[in-house]
Amino acid sequence: MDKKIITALFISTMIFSSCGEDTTQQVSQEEQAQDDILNEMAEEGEAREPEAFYLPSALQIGSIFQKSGLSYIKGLTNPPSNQDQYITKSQKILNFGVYSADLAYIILNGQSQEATDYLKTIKSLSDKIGFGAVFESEELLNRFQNSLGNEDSILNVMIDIQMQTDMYVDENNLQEVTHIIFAGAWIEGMYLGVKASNSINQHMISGRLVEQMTILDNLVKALRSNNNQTEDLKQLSKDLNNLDKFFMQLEENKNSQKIASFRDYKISKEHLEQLSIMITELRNRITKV
Amino acid sequence: MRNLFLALTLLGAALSIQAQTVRNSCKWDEEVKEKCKRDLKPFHYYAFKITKITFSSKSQFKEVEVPLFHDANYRFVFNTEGLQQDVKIEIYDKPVSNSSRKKIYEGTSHERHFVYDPPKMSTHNRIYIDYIIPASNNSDANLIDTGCVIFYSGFKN
Repeated sequence: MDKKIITALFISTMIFSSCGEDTTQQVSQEEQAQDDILNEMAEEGEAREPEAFYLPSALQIGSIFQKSGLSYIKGLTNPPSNQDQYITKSQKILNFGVYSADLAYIILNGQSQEATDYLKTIKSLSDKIGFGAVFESEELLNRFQNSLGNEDSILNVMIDIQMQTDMYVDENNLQEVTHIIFAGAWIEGMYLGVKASNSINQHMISGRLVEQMTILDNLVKALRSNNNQTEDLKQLSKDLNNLDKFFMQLEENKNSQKIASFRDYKISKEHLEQLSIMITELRNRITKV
Repeated sequence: MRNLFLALTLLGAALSIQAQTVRNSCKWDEEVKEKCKRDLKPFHYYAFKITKITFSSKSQFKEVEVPLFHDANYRFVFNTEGLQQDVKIEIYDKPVSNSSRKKIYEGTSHERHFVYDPPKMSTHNRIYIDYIIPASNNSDANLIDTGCVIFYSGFKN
């Protein structure tokens, strides 16, 4: 009994004495707790992955290649007529991404006539994959038509489409679908980079291709975190992972984290060719009808 | 008797769950969207992310990885109007697992809405945004505070 009284008195004393402390001490305790968290995280080491990561848009990838001198080659993109041949949902989602990259490539190269056909294809596929609401607005489509031929205006419309898509995805928890879309767009963007480079721009383009390879690990992680692992998706993750492994073991990649400009990425002709073959095979597999 | 005990336990659990109220302060309306879009200019929109936060009895940590491409300029817009409590925002060149990482920026959500342009030299191909979330200052055990940080990023080649 005495022991209980002593304990109660001790606790009461502690409570009253802590009530008397000023708020400064409370703030510093809070800061200390926050610093402790950071230290704890650092100690956990490499096992801890960032909670979230971004994947860039097809438009940004297209814009990066275009600024590096990527030329336009007619007939390189996936023909809009193929869209009806895509039967499974995975094929439709992946090729929605492929056509998005194609549209960016076409617009950035000022091909207005083709742009309309590709936007119609994307709109049509969007209805089939649950993104129809993004393209419902007549105003958006009219703005697109009216902006054709004006590079700045059409880019703004494309950016608005991207923004609306991102918001729609967030509101409807469709992040898993966007990872697959991005995979299609990334593969097509890389394919266009491989195929449309020439002897004049090859050094610049190859630097950009290698730079794009550095986001592949995040793409593979995103695809593997998908709760609905269909056979198509498993195969896609495996193919992209093989591509990532090939890239990671290249001697040229060892110091890639330290370089200051994409121009400094060096890749041997032989390795670039191997990379090109792997990308082309992958792209042909997802777009084949 | 055993069933009665089980039923009472479940009822008790259900009542205690019901008693908890969530106070969501997340602000994600047209006004915030417009403000973020306006402040991104003249950069082109790149991506946006809503980081949802549930304050608890313990401090928390969230890290967001943003891929960047060389020779492009970036702008970040943060909006923290939807937070009950202040959160520390720190930006690093490397993830928390890397002990040699450098802090590029430090701020608090107290600013409510702010723009940050990461200097080109400090960014390679990735940047890490850390949210350091303090323990909830809400003394009501039945009240759970939630909120969000809105993050927009833009790029310019």
